[in-house]
Amino acid sequence: MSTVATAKLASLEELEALRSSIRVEQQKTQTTVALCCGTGCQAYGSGRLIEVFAEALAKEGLEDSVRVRATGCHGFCERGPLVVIHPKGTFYQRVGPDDVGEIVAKTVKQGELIERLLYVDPQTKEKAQTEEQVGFYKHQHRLVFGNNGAIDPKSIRDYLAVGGYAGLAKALSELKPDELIEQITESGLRGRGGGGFLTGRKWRSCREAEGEPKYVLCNGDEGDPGAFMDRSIMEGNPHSVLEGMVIGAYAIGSNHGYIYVRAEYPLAVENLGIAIRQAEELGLLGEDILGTGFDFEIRINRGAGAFVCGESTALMASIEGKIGDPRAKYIHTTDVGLFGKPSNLNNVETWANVPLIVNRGAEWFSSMGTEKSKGTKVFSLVGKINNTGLVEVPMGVSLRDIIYKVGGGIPDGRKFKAVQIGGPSGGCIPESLLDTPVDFEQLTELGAMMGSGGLIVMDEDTCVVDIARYFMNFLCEEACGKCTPCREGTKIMLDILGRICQGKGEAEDMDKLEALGEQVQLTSLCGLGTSAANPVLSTLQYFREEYETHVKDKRCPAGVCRQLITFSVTPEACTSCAMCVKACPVEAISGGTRKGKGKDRVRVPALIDQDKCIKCRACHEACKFDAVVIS
Amino acid sequence: MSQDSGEKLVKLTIDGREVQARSGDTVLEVARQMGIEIPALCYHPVLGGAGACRVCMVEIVAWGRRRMVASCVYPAREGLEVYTNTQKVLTARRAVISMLLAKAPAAKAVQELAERYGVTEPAYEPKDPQGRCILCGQCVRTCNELIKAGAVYFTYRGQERKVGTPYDAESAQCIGCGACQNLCPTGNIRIRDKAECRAVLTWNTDLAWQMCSRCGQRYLPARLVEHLRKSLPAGAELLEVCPRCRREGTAEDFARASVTAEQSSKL
Repeated sequence: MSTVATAKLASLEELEALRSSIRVEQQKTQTTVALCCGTGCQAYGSGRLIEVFAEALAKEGLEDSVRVRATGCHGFCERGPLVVIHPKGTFYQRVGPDDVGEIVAKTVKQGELIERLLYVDPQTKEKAQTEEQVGFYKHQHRLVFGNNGAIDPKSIRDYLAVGGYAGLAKALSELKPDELIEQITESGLRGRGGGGFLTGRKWRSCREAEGEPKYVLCNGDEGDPGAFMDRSIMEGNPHSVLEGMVIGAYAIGSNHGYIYVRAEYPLAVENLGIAIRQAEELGLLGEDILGTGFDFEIRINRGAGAFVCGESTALMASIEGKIGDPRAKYIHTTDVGLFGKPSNLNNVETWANVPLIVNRGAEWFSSMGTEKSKGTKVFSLVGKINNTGLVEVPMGVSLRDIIYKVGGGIPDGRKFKAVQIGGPSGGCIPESLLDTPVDFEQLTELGAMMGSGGLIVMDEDTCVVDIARYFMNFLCEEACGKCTPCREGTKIMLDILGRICQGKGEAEDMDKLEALGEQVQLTSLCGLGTSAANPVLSTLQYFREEYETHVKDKRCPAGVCRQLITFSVTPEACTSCAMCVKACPVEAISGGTRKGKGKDRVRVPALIDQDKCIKCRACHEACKFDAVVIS
Repeated sequence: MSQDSGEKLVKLTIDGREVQARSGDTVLEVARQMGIEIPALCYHPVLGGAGACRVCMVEIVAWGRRRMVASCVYPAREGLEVYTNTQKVLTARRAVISMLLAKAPAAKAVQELAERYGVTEPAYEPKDPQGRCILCGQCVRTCNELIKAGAVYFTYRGQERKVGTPYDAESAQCIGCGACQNLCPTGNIRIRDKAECRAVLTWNTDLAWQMCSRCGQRYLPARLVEHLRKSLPAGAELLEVCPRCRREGTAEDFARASVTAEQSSKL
C-alpha cells in the first residue's frame, strides 16, 4: 500500500495538488488486477482470490509492479468472481483460485489471453475480451456505477484519482447555494428511492424552511426483495454518496447528516465508516471543509431490519430512537422532519448522482432520458433471466431492451411471462407492454412504479397468483400495524389469495380483492399501505384469466400451486433411472428400476403414490427425461 | 397539532360552507366547530389526531388535486375544499369500520359507528369475540406524551401489534394514574381498586396505596404520589394527606385564622 498523506487539506489548491501526486504515483504501477469483491462475487469466493493473487504475484516477483485492487460490485453477478486486468481491460469471469497462477504467468506477465476464462455470448457464441464487448455491459450506460470497477472502496486515494471530490470543490468555490440548487433542479434529477420527486425542488423547500438545525439524510434502507443497487453503491463507491451529501448540505445550509443503513449490509456499514473517517482526515468532511469555513458531519445509523423504516417518516422516527412507525406527511419533512426540524432525505443513488451533475453540468444530465425522467437508473435484474446483476441504463430505455439486450433473455428457452418492477409495492407487467419506456410516469400509469429499481423477471413456470400471494405475505409481515386499512386489509387480501392458491377460491373473490385493494390504496397512512395492493391489482388487471382458472377450474396453469397440481410419470418416457426415487424425500415413488435377470430383465417405470406425495417438485427437477409431468 | 408558531387565519370550505380557521387547526377540528360530524377514534382534543384509525377520511381538493386524507391530521389551509360526506368517503369509511369491527367486535364505540354507517358484517371472522382494542394508540400517547410515565407502548408489528408493557411484565413505570383508561375510546383498559392495591389489570401491574398521614385511609397509589411530587414541587406538602383531609385541614385553618382575627380586633 502506498503512503498516505493524512494532513487536512486547507484549500482547493491542496486538494488538486494531492490528486496530481496520487495520479503520478498510481501511473508508476503499469498493471492492475481489478478483482470484484462485491457481495455477489464474495459469495463465489472472491475474498480468497485476493490472497491467492498476492501469493502468485510474489512468487513471480511482481508484488511491487502489479497492484491487486479489491473493488466494489461490477454488476455482472451471474458470472462472478470477475477479474479485469488493466490497462488492457482483459475481462475474465468465473475465476477460481486454480486459475490465478495461470493468469499471472500468462496474462499479467505476457499479455496472453486465457480463452477458457473469457465470456462467451450465449447467442452469438462470440468471445469477449473486454467488458465493453460483453452484451451485458455494451448496452448499459454506467455513470453512477462508472467507477465501481476502478476504485478500491476502502481507499480515498483511489476515489481522488478518478476525480473524486472535484464536484465538491467546484460547488464550494464556484457556486452559491442557490445556484447549486438551480443546477440540480435544471438537471431534472428525481428521487431514485421510488417517489420520483424533483430533487432540486426538495432541496429548495428545505433551504427555505424555517428552523435550525437542518438535517441532510441518506436513505440506505434498501428493503425490496431482490434489490441491491444501493447496497452496491455504498459498498463499492461510498465516497460518491458522501460527496453528494456534502454538496447537498452546502446547498441546503445544513451541518448535520445521517446515513441510515440496514444492519444487514455489514460491508456497506464498514466501507461507509472507513470513507467518513478518511474524508474527515483529509478535511473533506467535518469542520472547515477545504478551508472554506463550511462544516458538515455525517453519522451512520443502522436500521434493525424493518422494511417500513425505508419510508421517510418511519426512518426519521427510527433515527430519533423511537419505534419505526410512519406518520402523516401533510406537513412535509422538509419543514418538520427529523427531531421536528427541516430535513432533506434522499436515497443513496440520488446522492451518488449529485457529484456527476455538478461536475458535468445540468445540461449534460438532462440530455439523457425522457421528457420528465432524466439521467440513468440502476436496476437490479433478478429472477428468470440469463444475466443476473446490476444494470444502469438511461431513462427511457424499454423494458424489452433491459430484459433481452442487457439481461440476455430468459434461460432454458422458456417463455417470458411478466416482470415485477418496483419491488413488493410495484406491479407485474406483461409481455404486451414490454416496449414501455422506463420512465416514472409511464410505469405508474401501468399500475407499477419505478420504486427503487428492482426488476424480477418471471417465466411461464411462474404463477402470478402465487407471486401476488408472495408479495402480499411480505407486506403483511412488514406492515407496522399503525393504520387500520394496511394492517387489516393486507391480511384479508393475503387470506383470499391463499384460498385461491389452495383451490378454495370463490367466484366473487376477484371482485372482492379489487374492491379491498382500492380501499387500502385510498385510506392507508404511508406509502407502504397505499401501494400494498399494487401486485394484486396489476396481476388482476393483466392476468385475470389465470385467477379465473384457479377459481373456476381449480387449476394452476403454471403448475405451481401445490393443492392444484399432481405429479405423475409418463411410463413411455421413463428410463427407470431411479433418479426420482432417490430424490423423493417421502418415499412416495415406487418402481423406477429394472427387474429380473438376463433376457427377462424388464424396466419398471416409476409410479408416484398420490397419497404420499407432498408436491415438493424434487422428482420433477431430478428427472432428466421430462418423464415426471405436472398436471 | 399546531405546527405553525405564528398562527394566521385561513379561509377554506367544508361541504360547500366557507369558514375561517387558524392555520394550525386540523380539518377535523374546524369541521367539528362548524357542527359537521366526522367520526374519529384516534383523535382526542388534548392529544390531537394520530392518523391511525382512518375512520376520519375526507376528500379534499388542494392545488387542483382531489384526494383522500385523514382529517384528524390534515391542516387547514387557504383555499382548501373539503368534502366530508361523498360516496367515496362513505365507502372508505365503511370499509375501515368493517375492519375495526373484525378487530374489536366488543368495542362499543365501533359498534355504534357500524350501526350509524350501516355496516352489518365484520371484514373477516373476528379472532377474538371479546376484542376491544383498536390500536388507536391513545393510551400510548397519554402515557408517554401527557403523563410522561412511559409505561406502555406498542409491541410487535402488523397483525401482531398490540399495546402493553415491555414483555407484558409488571411495569416499574406505571403510576396507576388511570389516564389511559379515561382516554381509551373503546373501554379496553381495566383497573380495579382493591383493599391492598390498585390493580391495573390490562398492564399486569399492581400498585400499593399511599395512606393519608392524617386519617390513615388509602387515597392514591404511592407511585402516583411520588410522580406528582416530582412534577408539582410547589404543592408537595399537600400530597401528604388525602383530598378529604386536605379540605378539612383547610377549613380548620380558616376557622383558626378567623378566631385569631376576632381576638386581635377585641384587643
